[in-house]
Amino acid sequence: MIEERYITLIHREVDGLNSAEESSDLRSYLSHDAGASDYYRDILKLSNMLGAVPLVEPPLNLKKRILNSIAVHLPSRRQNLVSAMAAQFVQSLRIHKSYAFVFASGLAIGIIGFSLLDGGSPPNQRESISHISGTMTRPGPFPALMFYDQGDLGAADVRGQVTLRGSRDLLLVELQVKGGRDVDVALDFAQDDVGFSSFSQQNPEPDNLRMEPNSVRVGNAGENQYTLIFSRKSHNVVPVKVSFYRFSKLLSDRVFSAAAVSE
Amino acid sequence: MIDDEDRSLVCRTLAGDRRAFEQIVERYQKVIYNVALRMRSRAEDAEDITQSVFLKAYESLGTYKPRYKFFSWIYRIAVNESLNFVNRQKQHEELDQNIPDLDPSAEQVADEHDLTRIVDEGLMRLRVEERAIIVLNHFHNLSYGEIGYILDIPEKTVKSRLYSARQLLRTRLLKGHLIQ
Repeated sequence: MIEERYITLIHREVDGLNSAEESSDLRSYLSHDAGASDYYRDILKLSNMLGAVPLVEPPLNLKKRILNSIAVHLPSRRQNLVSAMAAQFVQSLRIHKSYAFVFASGLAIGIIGFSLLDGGSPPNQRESISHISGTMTRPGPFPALMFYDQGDLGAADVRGQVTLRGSRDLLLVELQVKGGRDVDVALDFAQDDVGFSSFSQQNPEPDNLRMEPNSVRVGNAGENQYTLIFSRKSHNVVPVKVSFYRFSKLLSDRVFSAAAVSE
Repeated sequence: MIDDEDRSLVCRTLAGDRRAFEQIVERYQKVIYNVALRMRSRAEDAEDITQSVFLKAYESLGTYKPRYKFFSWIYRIAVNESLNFVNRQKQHEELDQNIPDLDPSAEQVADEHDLTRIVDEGLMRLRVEERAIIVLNHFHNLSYGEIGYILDIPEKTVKSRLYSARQLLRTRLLKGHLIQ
């Protein structure tokens, strides 16, 4: 019967985790216990055997198959955002049912009116592309994101950490909020500097995002983690103010900055 | 360095750059495929599992926390998908009993010379939880801590399961005269 402590030491030895003293202790034990010595030899052989199994190359078409499945099953993330906004819009229409009818009627009248003014679109008329010439420029390689700024803000019972990263064309704000759920978070920025592009959160609830040209607001934002992506319009320093509110009362705010980038 | 590149690829994917996710697939398809293959031992199943892993990863990329290593995160999805797949197939397998007998004659062993097959047969005799630990530790050289994160169990449990899995594998391979 091998002592429990030496079974552990045997496995740790095989994994290369024993200290010099532990290895020496084990060697001394193995020299006096034939059963333990056999056990060690077997575990070592087993480990070598497993380690000798090579990784198998996946089939050549696997990558294509994976990417196709993504294209089929999921719309692009931009489309996700559009559908999320559409869903939010439909939700608001549900709330204001009376406006929904007025809107739908107006939309129908507008479409009919426009098509009449335009003379209607000719059915199945194809545009000739024979006169179009030229080359398309390939999009350049996407630069790795640079770290810009990071810091904490908060009050007694709510803490937040903000990290700004980005590239020449992109600004990424990672926001982690710890504390009461009743905290609202606002990000304020100049609309000439950045434009809001996409949003994701670790916990799906709450779904309470409000977007304006120069701000993004998340209601009941506590105990969650967010990633907000903006398209960058300005190459100068871009300040983003992050504020925490509770019942519209400001708890804390701080300005974070993304460094200027070359033109 | 690899971690920073991974995080950058994740950010780019979140920003709508599909090419970035393609790079993630290129980078991880081999290891994910191999996790699935060793967990399941059938190439077609491993392909299905790998496809499902990347679909899940793409779907939930927004929940990835950059403070963790991306490879641990995607391994975690891979192991969970493999475990789910194995559990779904379990009932069928119990009826099928299609797993090869691990008590071959000495002649058969001599003929095989197929290390991978011998190991796979041994692995398939382990419980899936034990199999996962052996796969992550021995084929992917992950530390106890990393395995703990991936399987969502304490490091102490990783050690005890790993040791008992090795012990079982040793017994089974010895029984089959595969360790001489």
